[in-house]
Amino acid sequence: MRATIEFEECLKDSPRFRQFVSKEESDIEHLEQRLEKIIKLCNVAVDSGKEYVKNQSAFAMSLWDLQQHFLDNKNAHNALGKLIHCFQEMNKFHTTLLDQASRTVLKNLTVFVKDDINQVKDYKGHFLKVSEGYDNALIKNAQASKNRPQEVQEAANILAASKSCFQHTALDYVNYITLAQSRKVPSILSTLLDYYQACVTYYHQGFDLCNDFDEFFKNISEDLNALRGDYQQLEKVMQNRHMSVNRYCDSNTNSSSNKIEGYLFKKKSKGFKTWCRRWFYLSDNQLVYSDLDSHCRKRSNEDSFSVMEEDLRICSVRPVNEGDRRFCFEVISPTKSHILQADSADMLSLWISALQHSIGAAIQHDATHNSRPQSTNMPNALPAKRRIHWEEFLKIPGNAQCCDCRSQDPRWASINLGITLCIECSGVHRSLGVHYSKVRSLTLDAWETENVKVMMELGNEVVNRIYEARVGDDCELKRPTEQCEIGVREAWIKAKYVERRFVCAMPKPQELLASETAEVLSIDSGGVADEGGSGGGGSNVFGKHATLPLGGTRKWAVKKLRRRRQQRSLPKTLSDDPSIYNTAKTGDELDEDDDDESINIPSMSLSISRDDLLVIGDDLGLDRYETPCILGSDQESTEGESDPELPEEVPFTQLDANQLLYKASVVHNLPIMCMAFALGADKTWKNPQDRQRSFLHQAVISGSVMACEYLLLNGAVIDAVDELGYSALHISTAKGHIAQVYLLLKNKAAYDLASSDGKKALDIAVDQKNADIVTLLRLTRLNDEIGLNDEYNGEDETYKDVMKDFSNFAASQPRMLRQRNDSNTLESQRSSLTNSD
Amino acid sequence: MGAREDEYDYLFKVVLIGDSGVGKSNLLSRFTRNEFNLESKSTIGVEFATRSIEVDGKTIKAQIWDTAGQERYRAITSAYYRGAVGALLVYDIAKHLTYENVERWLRELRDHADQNIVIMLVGNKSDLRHLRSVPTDEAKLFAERNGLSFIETSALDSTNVETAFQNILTEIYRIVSQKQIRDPPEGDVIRPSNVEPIDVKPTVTADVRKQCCQ
Repeated sequence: MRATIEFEECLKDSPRFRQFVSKEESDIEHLEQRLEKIIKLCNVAVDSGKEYVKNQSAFAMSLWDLQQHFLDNKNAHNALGKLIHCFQEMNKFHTTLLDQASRTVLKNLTVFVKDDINQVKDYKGHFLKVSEGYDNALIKNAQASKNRPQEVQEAANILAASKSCFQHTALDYVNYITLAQSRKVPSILSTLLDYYQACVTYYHQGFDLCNDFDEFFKNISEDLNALRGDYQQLEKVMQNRHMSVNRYCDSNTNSSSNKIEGYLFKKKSKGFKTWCRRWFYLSDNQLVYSDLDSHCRKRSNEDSFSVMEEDLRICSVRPVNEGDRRFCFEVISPTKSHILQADSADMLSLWISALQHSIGAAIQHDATHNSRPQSTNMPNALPAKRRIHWEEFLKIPGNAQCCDCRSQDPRWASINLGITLCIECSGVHRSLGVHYSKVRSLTLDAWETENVKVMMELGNEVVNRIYEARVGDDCELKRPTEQCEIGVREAWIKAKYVERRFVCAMPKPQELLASETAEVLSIDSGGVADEGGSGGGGSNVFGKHATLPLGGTRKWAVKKLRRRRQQRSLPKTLSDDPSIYNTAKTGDELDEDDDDESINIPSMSLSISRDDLLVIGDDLGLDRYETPCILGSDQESTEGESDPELPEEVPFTQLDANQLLYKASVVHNLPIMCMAFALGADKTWKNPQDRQRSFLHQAVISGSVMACEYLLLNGAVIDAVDELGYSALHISTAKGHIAQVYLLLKNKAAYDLASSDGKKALDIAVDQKNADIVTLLRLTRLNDEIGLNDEYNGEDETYKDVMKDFSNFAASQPRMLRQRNDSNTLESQRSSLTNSD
Repeated sequence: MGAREDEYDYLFKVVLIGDSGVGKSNLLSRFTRNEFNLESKSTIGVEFATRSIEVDGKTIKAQIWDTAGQERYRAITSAYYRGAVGALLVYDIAKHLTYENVERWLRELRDHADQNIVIMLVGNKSDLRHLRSVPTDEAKLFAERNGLSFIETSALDSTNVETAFQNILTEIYRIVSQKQIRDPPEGDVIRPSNVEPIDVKPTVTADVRKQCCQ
């Protein structure tokens, strides 16, 4: 404790007192200056601390961002998370510490300065004033003249009062000084102690925090050591990186595995005909390459992988020696050829052998595992392209057995007949020639959409109802079986398709007219063991001869085929009804309300409606068969199928195979068309009563692609013209049927044919402003011109691409093609009205 | 191969694109048949014409595909861009909108055409001086920025039509012939650095031009 002055000295106002006061004053002054400096610096420290904390927390936030980078590495993600958490906690503690600092140091010291020191200072002024007053009183008292006792008295009174006042004030002043002096130490010390405590708490908290995380971080550093070890090991391995160059070369040339992938130079077949380097690999019988070049630049905005060959089984590979470049080989498919270049002779032979191996393996795999779909769980390399699986074909009624010998699981098909065949029978079909049967493999060949559609409409059951209707009448022929001799097979197939010996004869119109009830058909299912075909059961119970009561029926018509009919109740099964007169409860608009008068003979598919109209094709369509999903509703390319339009009625005098085909074509009823061919329709026939039009004209008018395709497959004359000189192409163009135009052009229709009034298809298309058809026609012509001039190039690549585009559109979005066409004609009408340009 | 009249060393496919009514078909007819039709109709779908020119003693046959500018007359397929080695992107100097749409056409090319395709920006109808709405300098700058060649033409008075086709075919020839000789490992290099850009100077005299730009 500081020595204070004795009160006596104060009262005496001794020089010591004055000395004391001034000393104390300067002391306090000094203290105040120090304290103010401390407060100022403390403020700075707190502020900068706050800044630091702010930056620190920003730092932590940036660490969170970093953590996101390690989302795939759980350990790193976790560790980082904890570390960041730790940092953030520490930061929080720091914030608290700063808070404490400002609360203790700043506040306490400020209070001390304000209260104690300022009190002293304030009182100093008062003391000085009083002291001055006392001095004045002393002076006045001293100056008081002896002669004026009143004055003397007055001065003495003032002096006494002043003195007393001064003494009190001096004492008070001393009191303040003393108090301030005595309080400065505890104040400062306690303040600093508080701050110290805050620091202690801060470090304690940090320590506790670290303790909590201790285990975790120990683990991390252990992990780190492990990682470091891994890294060192990796580094060691990487040091040997150049060794792998040699080793890779060895393994590459030695490996006999058929799995191969790598870079090849690919010669572009169009454009700049440049060579580009692409990553090729084999996947699911496809030769695929990456669209990214070696710099990962995307070539186009399509898929990053292109399929070069969709089915290696139909490809062959051979080395190419001509040409400037070395190590070239060629992948040849029926339609394309690709030149590829390997990096070395070794790689060349490796690629060739690998490709050949996998071609062989694919074919073999197909032969041994053919009951299993191969690509069902594999990601399809071309998701956009619809793949039609051959298994769907077998779901068509009757198709699960060979159409001729009934052996199970046929793998071949005749696309013009619309049937499936076993390999032996397909061989016989081939020998008949393509004008009788066009054989394709279900599994190996690529199928065009239109062929698939034809297959979907027919099928073994439908076709056999026609081609084997009279089996049993003709008994000298043995029906082929799965293991029968080739001769039996040949004889049967020839009799069935070439001689058409088992086909029911066409009801003769004359006979029909002559008799009230004509004997129309002989129906005998013979020994046909077609329990598998669900519809076959019906015909088994038929009597040998069916008769049609033809009363007043004098007309016939072909029913429009509706592929997407509602599932309707089958005609009452004939086995339930002893009579052959079967009430067709078809619910169709034709015979909605008839009951007794309608007759239905499924094998010939004749029915007579209440209007005495003989309706052909009522039952051949197999309505119980659900169209498989591959031909879903959006696949429908047949226009006007749902029009509730009544079929055209024809007098009985004109009932013959040609008329039947003619009428069936316009309603695209493929089963009846098939029947008409079986009945011997003449492929080159033209209707003299209808502007000399051919079947194909009719099919074009029907709007159906498959009817056209079916006729073309069966040898219809593609360029037949009617009396106005219009070919099928003219008519399809005029009707704006893009898909048909595409089909006709694909089948090499003559596009330059001029009609009698001098119009070519292109003129019509331009008049109609149908951009797609114009493009198709012009491109086809251009392609032919190029083909003439450019011997080695053959078909123009662009042409192929465009045709492929149209084929894809026709297959996947026929409706879009149609709507486009509609809107186009609409637009063109509008523009021709306004003609703003 | 027998010696034919139409024998050629190179066949280049070039497409003409641009908005409706900018004069693509007339550029084509001017170049291939030296014809001009003031009342030509809209192109439906696509049309073609060919003409051969000589570059460095080689015969280059240009197969030019003229496409419909109007959306409703364009075919559903975009395959006709494939295999094209050159494109003339045409706009009408008197219709600013056709110039604004150039970006859209460029996008279309980038989407469907070979990435090496040589593109020339063509401001057609340069004869319509008094109606000009696209300044030459602006289009030129745009072309430079996008790596395109640039020229202004008039199919009506034949100005620069020949030059335009000559230039683009020459440029393509330079690239293709170079590639055939050198066969660079990266076949898809966009433009070899040693091909000099062809600076196309408008042949129309400058003073005439200035009168209308103001």
